[in-house]
Formats: sequence, structure tokens, C-alpha cells
Amino acid sequence: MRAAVLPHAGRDQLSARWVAGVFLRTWPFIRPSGRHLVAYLAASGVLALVTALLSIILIGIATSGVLAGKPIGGIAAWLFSLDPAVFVEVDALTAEARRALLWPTLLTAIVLAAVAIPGGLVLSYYAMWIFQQINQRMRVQLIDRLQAQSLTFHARAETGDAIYRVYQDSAMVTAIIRFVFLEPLMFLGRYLVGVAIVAAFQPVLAAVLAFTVLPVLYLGYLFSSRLRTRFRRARERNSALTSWIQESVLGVRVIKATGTEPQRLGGFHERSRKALDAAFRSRVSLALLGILAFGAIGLAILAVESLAALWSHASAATFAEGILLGFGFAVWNFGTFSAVNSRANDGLGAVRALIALWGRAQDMAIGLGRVFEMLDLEPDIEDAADAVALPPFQRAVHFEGVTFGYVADRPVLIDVDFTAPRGTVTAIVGPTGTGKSTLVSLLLRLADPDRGRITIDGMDIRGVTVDSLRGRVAIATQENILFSDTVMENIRYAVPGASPETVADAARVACADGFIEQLSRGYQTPLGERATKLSSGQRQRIVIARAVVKDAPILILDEPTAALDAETELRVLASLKRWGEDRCIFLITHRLSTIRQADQVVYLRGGRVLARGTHDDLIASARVYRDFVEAETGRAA
Amino acid sequence: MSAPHDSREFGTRETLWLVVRSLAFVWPYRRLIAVKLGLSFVGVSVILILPWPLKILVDHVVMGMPVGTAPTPYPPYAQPLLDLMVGLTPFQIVWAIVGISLVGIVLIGAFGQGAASDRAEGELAEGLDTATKSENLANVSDSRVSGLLGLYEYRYQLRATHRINHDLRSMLYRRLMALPVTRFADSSIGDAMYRVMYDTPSISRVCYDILVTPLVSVYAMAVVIWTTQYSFSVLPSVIAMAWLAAPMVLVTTLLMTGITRRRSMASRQAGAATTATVEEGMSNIVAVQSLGASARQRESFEADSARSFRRFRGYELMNLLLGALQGTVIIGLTFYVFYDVANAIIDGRMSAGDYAVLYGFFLQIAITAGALGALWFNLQNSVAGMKRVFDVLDMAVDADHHGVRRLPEPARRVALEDVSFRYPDGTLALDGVRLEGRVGEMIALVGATGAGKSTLAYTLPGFIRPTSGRVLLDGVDLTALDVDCVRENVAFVFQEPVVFDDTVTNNIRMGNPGGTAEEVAAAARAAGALEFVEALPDGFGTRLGQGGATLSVGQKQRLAIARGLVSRAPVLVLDEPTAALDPETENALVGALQAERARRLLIVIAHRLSTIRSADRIVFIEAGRIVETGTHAELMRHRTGAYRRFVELQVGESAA
Repeated sequence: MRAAVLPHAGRDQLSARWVAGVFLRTWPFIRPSGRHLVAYLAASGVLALVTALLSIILIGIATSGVLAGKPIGGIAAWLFSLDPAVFVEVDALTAEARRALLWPTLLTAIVLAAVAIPGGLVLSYYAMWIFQQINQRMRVQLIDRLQAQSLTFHARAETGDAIYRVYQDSAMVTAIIRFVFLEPLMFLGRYLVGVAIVAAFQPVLAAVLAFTVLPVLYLGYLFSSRLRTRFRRARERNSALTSWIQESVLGVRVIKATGTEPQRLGGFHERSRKALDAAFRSRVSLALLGILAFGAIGLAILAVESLAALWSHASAATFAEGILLGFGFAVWNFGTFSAVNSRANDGLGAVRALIALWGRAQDMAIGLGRVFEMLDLEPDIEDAADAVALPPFQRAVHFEGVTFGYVADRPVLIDVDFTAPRGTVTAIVGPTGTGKSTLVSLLLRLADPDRGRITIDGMDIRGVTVDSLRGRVAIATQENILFSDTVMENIRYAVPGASPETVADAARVACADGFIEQLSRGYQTPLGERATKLSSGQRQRIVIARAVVKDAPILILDEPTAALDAETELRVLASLKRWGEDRCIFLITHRLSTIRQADQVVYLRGGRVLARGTHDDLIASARVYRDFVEAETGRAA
Repeated sequence: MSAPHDSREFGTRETLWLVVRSLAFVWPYRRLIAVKLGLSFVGVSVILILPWPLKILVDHVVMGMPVGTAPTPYPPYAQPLLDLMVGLTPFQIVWAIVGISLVGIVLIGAFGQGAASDRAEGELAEGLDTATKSENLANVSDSRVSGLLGLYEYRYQLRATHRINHDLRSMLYRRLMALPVTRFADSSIGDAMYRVMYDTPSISRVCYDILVTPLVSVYAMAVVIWTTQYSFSVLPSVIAMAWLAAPMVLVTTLLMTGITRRRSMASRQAGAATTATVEEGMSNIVAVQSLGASARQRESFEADSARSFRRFRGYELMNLLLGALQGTVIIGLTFYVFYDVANAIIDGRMSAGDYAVLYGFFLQIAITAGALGALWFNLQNSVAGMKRVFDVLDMAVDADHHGVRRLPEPARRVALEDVSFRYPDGTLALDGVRLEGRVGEMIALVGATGAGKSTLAYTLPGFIRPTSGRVLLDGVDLTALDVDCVRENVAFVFQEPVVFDDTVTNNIRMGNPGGTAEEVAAAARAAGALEFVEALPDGFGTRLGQGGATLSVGQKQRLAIARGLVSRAPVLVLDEPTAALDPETENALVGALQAERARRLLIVIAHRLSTIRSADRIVFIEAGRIVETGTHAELMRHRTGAYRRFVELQVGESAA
């Protein structure tokens, strides 16, 4: 990760430094769209200039000429080849002259519309496309980060929260790029152009416009931290609500079985109300900022309008009459009044839009803090700088003094030592919660040991690339997770290119071919998100097939057969043993019939290895193990 | 949620029907909406007076005409304003207007058209997809004015929106919780969340778009038309335009609704699909990582997300085109009017200030007609969301299949009479099952995977209803009983344990909300959970995190069992409670179950011999039928019995 100075929750101050930091951080996502952004800005600038020019010409002809009967500017006369003697060098226009100007007026207006409407449409679409591209890059990166986190992280993170982040917040980052970098640039342009044009008419009015910015900026400063606090709370509450709903849906069976719907509903009510209250407070603050800002801006517009009206009444000369003469604005009149008003309104409108953006940016700042928090997460399992690909598996897997805990000072595994040679089945047995699953997850580097090491053929697995390691290890997990896809895709989930024959072979090894073929659409049968349509035993066999199809030299079966009946289990195991003759198989299990199949038994209890050997040896020599087995069958084995 | 990706199109009639249903829902809030409507009328009325001070400024200050010489009459509502100006010098007129405007800025945040008026709103920046849009929808509120009145109206409407949204999403949530368990089998969880969070806010749009916007728009247009006729009778074309503008804008809008409706649907669905992918990847992170499938999951998300964006672009493009079309129509009308007005001014039939007024009025018509046109458009959008909400509300819930009877006292007897169950796809899962059990018994359901044990167990608390036959509690058909009564009498412990993000105590107490701390601890002890719970940082007060992520499967299962044990239900069903338990824990649990037997009927699905042997009666099931019933000893006497064979396999050949 880049060492950036950057915003975290609680440190999300909107300062120049912060804005610069955001820009640096988001730059990698923006950069691929850089050319498009420049093109978009340039096109917008050209369009804005063309429309501003056309509007001024239009006001000159329409308002001054047609409506007020004042002479038009030389430029307009030249454009429409009108006789300057009739239209420019006179005190007032005749009725015929005024009527003659109607067509030039309409023509200018049509050109204006023909430029502005399609131009605006194309630019809007273009901008949307550009920002979707940026958003997409960011979302994908977020997902990547989340997926790269170790189990230790996922033990803490809430899934609902993660989804909310990816959706709301990555959209916010996109919005902030747009609203903090792009649009202010355009608004600033509009404001400065407005001030400059008005200054040509009358510098006093330009000063009014310039000074209006001060109270508006002060308001923005005043509201910033309050808005941020409130927006943060609103988001947190909303996120809590989303998690609550998700949990309710996931656990709906238990809620129904225990009849606790009213309690869940109560919890929902409370969270929903809190979320809405927080939203209320934040939104009202935002609205208030807009209302107060308009107070200042409204006063400025009122001042400009009144002064312009008085000068027009007096037909005073404009400040830069020499320049404005060409457009017909040498003297204050109705046309000048309209031109100044429209420019002042446009400039101040831009200021108002800016302050509204500023208010919204406070909300986006929160979103950014959260996104960066996630982007900043170091994948805690990362390839070492000098990591090499794991060479083909030859001899054995060693656990050497492995100690590990998810939380500091609460080790789950203590000094675990054993060797699993190629061509053997190692059964890891022991009471629930004793760290059996954790032990094998270390082999996959889903987490790293706190002390000790795991080696494959003598090579520390921390020294090899994660991809090559996981490529050599296949696992069938305890929780039978199926993805919402067909049976075929579920089995070849880890090997997307596997042929249907390979998949069918794997299914055969897992003894799943029989029931799959009886499904309505065989291997093409779709499975639901929670895949409840299949019995647990069937799901378990699909999960085993998924591990088999990977054809990896090391296979981990984490309680692979818990949901299988004894008969099916024997068949599956026998089949797996045949298949695994030259592989290294780890088996976590409780069942005696399964344990008997193993070449080596590692008996874990309280995170320590208490006994190790073949089943028969252990029965003969290890008292703790014998007790354990007797409990299993209800008699001595 | 049978069809989460239903993209069927619905016609105008169905749209209207959905609107009517939505209105029926908001009917209880009619007073809130009436107040909002009243506030809007006040705001719009004020706005319609705003062009007149500008006319005074233009005519009598800029153009220097003496007051009272303007060729067109002021409407009665603006006449008092003009009367104030009689006899004033231009300088004094400016001061008078400045004074009035200052009051306007404070009260209504407006003193003229365009940039000289503000509206109260609190929209937040939206991302480029529907999720963030509906966040704003859930907070719909705005006022045509700003200042004190605008602030009041904004706050008032926001509260109203929140109340309506809260009530609707609560209703939907309650409904989701009441759906039959089997409903959740094939639907995706992301989709259900999407409905509660993102679809329900559509109600606010429907509500205001139907009840407020049209009335306010019609009122504004009526005032504009009436004023135009009163003040500008010299210019029939202007009057004609005032009448025609709105219909023309409306027609252009209606032409495009068919397309936008489809696109809106598609966009929402693509959003739901993306959520589902994220959800699946995150909740199955162990599988994803250990299978080395992160890249694959990412690609899948990338594709879903790209599709979601593409669909949304298509939808927004329609919006843009519609906007451009409306803009063109409005500009065309303005040009036409300008031509006529200019001629009238040149002839002296109108003044330059009249142009300012008409410009303001046509701006008003454009805004109003635009709002009306967008109304149908927005409605299509909102109705798509409401349809998805109503789809869920319309699904039959458990209570629909149950009566209202309650048992006078805890049940003592459960009976299945010729119960058969056939899945919708035709598979026969249960075939004429007859079974009876009484409190004081422990029955073990035994059989191969897929034999129908879980299906049978599911009929007891009414999770599924037999397709034929009856389930009786104390001789009363389950379907005649109140669903809460059924669940109070039958507790169920699932094979795959679920743990909620709450304290250990609350997780266990779900089985019996009135349970004391002692009862909770006793249940935990019986389930073999006491030891590890006490080792947690805060013991029973420890929060478990979502999905109980910090616990092992075996630990979660023990909590789930404790949850079942703490309940006072006379019938306790345990679906493979010991699958993830080690034998010692299991034996302890079986011991605890023996103690429970005195006051309960225990029905246990089990594979393990140690559990099965302790049952009073073993029911062996094969292919949905009960093939053998008896005690372990009785069944083992059949040399060729199905149960005996099962046992021999279980302990290994050597034990035979």
C-alpha cells in the first residue's frame, strides 16, 4: 500500500491537505479515465463559453433591440448583415427596425438551443460513463481487499456492513471525485466569468459579487463539523439496520421456531427509528445550510438588481463602454440591466451550488473515510517479498511447534508438532472447539501461526506464494457451502476450466454421481443461495467432489462425513482412499468408523496434541484416547 | 420471493392498481399529507406573486414609465403592490421593493424568479446506481420556497416521509419473518434485503406524486392561466400557449414511459444480483479463500457490477432524452410567445415589464408541467419498487394456513395421521407416515441421508404442511391452531446452528424470553456449553458478532441446543443435534436429554449410535416410509432388519 496521509474515521477533516490527500489516494482509480476527464472538461468549457457568448448576443438583440428599442451592438449587426446606419448608429430603433430584428433573434436562439441541448445531453451521458468506470474499479478493488483478508478479520467484520460500504461508499468516492474536483472547477469558472463580465459593466457590482463569497464560506466552515458528525451517525445507524435485516433473514428458521418474531420486530423498530432520526437531523442541517447561504446570496442579487435598475433609469454609461459597445451595452438600459442580472445570477448561482456541494461533501467525507479504511487494510496474509512457487509435493507436511490464537493471549493451538507423510491419511480427532479446524486453516494460510512453522517438504509455507500453496491444497469444509449456480459449476468452482468428464469423475469419487444424475436437470440443476433443496448429506458430497476435482496433492476433509449416514460414509471414504493413494489426506472427524481408516491419529485436546499414532496403538497405549473412543461407541473398541 | 427476478411487464391498468394499493396504504396518514399540501399551496401562491415586483422595477424604474401608465392591467392579487408605488419617484420605488424583498428573503427565501428564489431541500449526492438513489427517496422532502416557511415545510414533510417509510418497512419486515420457512429455500437473501431497504422508499414518491404534486401543479397552472387571461387579453396567442403548454409537455413524456419502465426494472434487478454476489462471497469467505477462488468470485462480481452499471446507464439515458425532449418543447413555445409579445410591445399594447412577467410565468408553467410529466415517469419507477414490495406482502404467510384455536394447556400428545409430503417438483418425501408420541418419551428418527427424516420433523412445528394427512397436537389438527400456539408447544433445534449478533444469554433466551439467568445457565450446562461460555471475555454477557463468527460450529450447535432446552415447549425436536459434537459432549448431552424426558416428548434425528440407543423408540425411515419401529434391542433381534444393518455399518464390520 502507498504510505498516504489519509483519512480514517475520526480524522476526516475537510482541509486543503485532506482534499489533496483524497486526490492522491483516488488517483489510481481516476488515472485510467484521465484522458476522458480532460476531454470532458475541455468539451464542457467550450460548450459553456459558446453558450455564454450566444446568450450575450441574444440578450443584446432581443432585450435591448426588440423589447426596449435601443440600438444593437456592431458585432450583432455584422453577424446578420444589418445596416449599421439603421440598427447601430441611432438613438432609438424604429418600429420596423425592431420588427426586423425578430428573425435574427429567433435564429440566434435556435442556434443556442441546437448547441446547448444535445451538447448537454451528450456531456451528461459521457460524465456518467466516466464515473461509472471509476466506480467499478473502486468496487472491484474493495471486494478484492475484503476477500484477501484473513479469517481473523472476517471473524470481526459484519457482512451487512461490508455490502453497505461497497455500495454506498464506493459510489460516494465517485461522487466526491466529481463534486470535489470536477464540478467546483466548473462552478468556479462560471463564477469568475460572471464576476469578470459584471466588472466590465460596473466594478462596484463585481465587488458586491466578490464579497458575497465571504459570509457564504464562513457558513460552510461553521456547518462542516456538525454536518460530518450527523452524517456519520446516519450512516452508522443505517448500516446497523441493514445488518439486522440480513441477520433476521439468515436466521429466520430459528426466529420462527422460537416464536421470537415480536422481539426481532422490536429490534427492527428501534433500529429503523434510530436510522430515520439520524437521517432527519443530518438532512435538516443540510437544508438549513442551504437556506442560510441563500440569505447572503439573495441580498447580493437584490443589491445588484436594485443598483442596476437605478443606473438604467439614469441611462448611466457602463464602465468599459468601449468593449461593450460592440454588444450594444455602452449605456445602462433594459438590455444592460438584463445582461448584468443574468451574469450576476449565474455567478452567484454557482456559489450557491458550491456551498450545497460543500454540505454534501461532508457526507461524502464520511464515506471516503470508511472506504479508505478498507482500502488501507493490509491483507494480513501476503506473499513474502522473496516468495517462490511451491515445488511439486514429494515427501511430507510438518507442523513444527505451531502456536496460534485469533485473539492475543488466548491461544487456540499450543505447540502442535506432527508429520503427515505423502500416501497417508492423518485423522485429527478431539473434542469440539479444540482447534482442529483452525489447525488445517493454518495449512492453507488463512491465518499464520504466532509461533512455530508449517513446512511442506521442508519449506516454510510462509516463504511460498499463497496462490501456489492454495493450488496444492484442496479442502472440503465442515459448513457445506454451495454457491447459487448449477451443480456442475459448484463442483468445478475452484477449477473453472474443468471438463464435464473431470467433474463427473470427481462426483464419482465423492459418491455423488448417483443422486446428481437423478436430479431434474442432472449436472445442470441450479442450486439456490442457501441450497436447501438438497439434503445435507448430498450437499456434503458435492463439497467433497469440489475438493476432489482440484486434483491437489494435499486434501483436507473437515468433518466431511458428519451428515452422511454410516453406509454412505464408508463408501465415500473407501472411494477417497483409493483416489488418494499418492496424496496426503487430513481428516477431521468424530466417527470411529472413519478414524479406523486413518494411518495416523492425532488426538488434540485443549489445543495440544495429547496422543499420536495408529488407532490400534493408541487404544493399547493411550488412556486419554481410549476414554474418548469408549465414549463414542458406548463400549470398549 | 418465488420469482426474485421477475421482469414481467405490467400495463397501465396494473400500474394504476398498484397506485391505488399504495394510496390505500398511505390513507391513515391523510392528515399529515393534507398539512403538507396546505403548506405547498401557500408556497406556490407566494411564488406566483414574485414576477410582479420585477415588472414594477422594469416598467417604472428601468424604462422610466410613470406609475399607472402601463398598458396591461394588474391582477387583483398584485394590484395592492402597484397601489403602494403610486406617486413614488423611481428611487423610492427601488427602496420600497428592496424593503419588501428583504422580508421575502427572511420569510420565504425568495423575492423574484430564477436565482432570486431558493427552495429548501436536503438531497444527498447519489452514486450512479439505484441503491444510493433510494436512500434519497427514503428522505423525500422539499419545499418550493425557502426561508422560515421553507424550513418548516421541509422539516414537516421529512417527518411525514419517515413515518410512512418506517411503517411500510416494518410491515414488510414482519411479513418476511412470517413467510413459511420453505419460501426462503430458493430465494436470495440479498434480494430480500434489497426490498426492505431499497424498494420500500418508493412509497414516499407514490404518495407525494399522486396526492401533492398534481394538485399543486394544477393550482399553479390555473393561477397562471387565469392571470394570463385577465392581464394579457390583448394577446390571444399567449393565452392559447398557456393552455397548451402543459398538455404538450405531458404528451412528450407519455410517449416514453414504456421503455423507461422496463429499464427501471432491469436496473433494479441487476443491482440486486450484484448485492447477492457480494453477500455470497463474503458470507462464504472461508470456502472462497480455501478453494483459491477469490479471483473467480471477483470476476463474477465485476461482471454483475458492470451489468448493473450498464443497465443503469440505459435507464438514465432515457431520462436524459426525456429531459432534452421536454426542454425542446418548452424552448419552442417560449420562442413562439416571444415573437408575439415582442410585436405587442413594439405596438405599445404591452410593456417591457410584461415580458418579464410572462417570462416568469412560462418558467412556472415549464417547472409545473415538467413536474407533472416527470410524475408519470417517477410513478413508473416507484411502482416497480412497490410491486416488489406488494409481491412479498401478498405471499401466504404461516398464519394464513393456521386457525386461531389455542390449546388450553401444554400439549401431551403428538400424532401424525397418514402424513404424505410431495415437493412442488413432484418428489415424494413422505409417504403415509403414521406416528404417535407422548410426553415422557424419547423417539429417535433414524435412516439414511435423504430418507425424509428432516421433512418429517418439519411437519411438527408446521414449517411445512403435509400435502395429505394430518398432524395433531392433543388431537387438534395443526391447521386449526394459532401458529404461535404451535410454536410454543413445539421447540426445534436445527441441524445447522444459527447464532445471532447478541449476547450469549439473549441467544439462549430466545427459546424462552422469560427465562431466568439460572435457567439459561442450566440449559447451557446441559448442552455442554457452560465451559466455553464462561471462558469468553464477558461470559454470558459476551456479544457474539454476526453469525457468531468467533465460535466454532460445535460451539454454535451447543448454544442452539441450549436454546431448545431452555424453552418450556412440551415437544422438543432435535435435528441431528450432535453431528458436530465430540462423543464426550454428546454423551453429556444425551444424559441431559434423559433428564428432560420426564417433562417432554423428545424427537431426535440422529446418526450416532450412542444417541440412538438411549431412545425409548427408534423409528427407522427409508424413502419417506416408516419401515421399522421398536427399541434398539428389539430391532437388533431382526437378523436381516434394516436397522440392524445400519448399526453394523456404523460401528464397523468388526462389531457385527
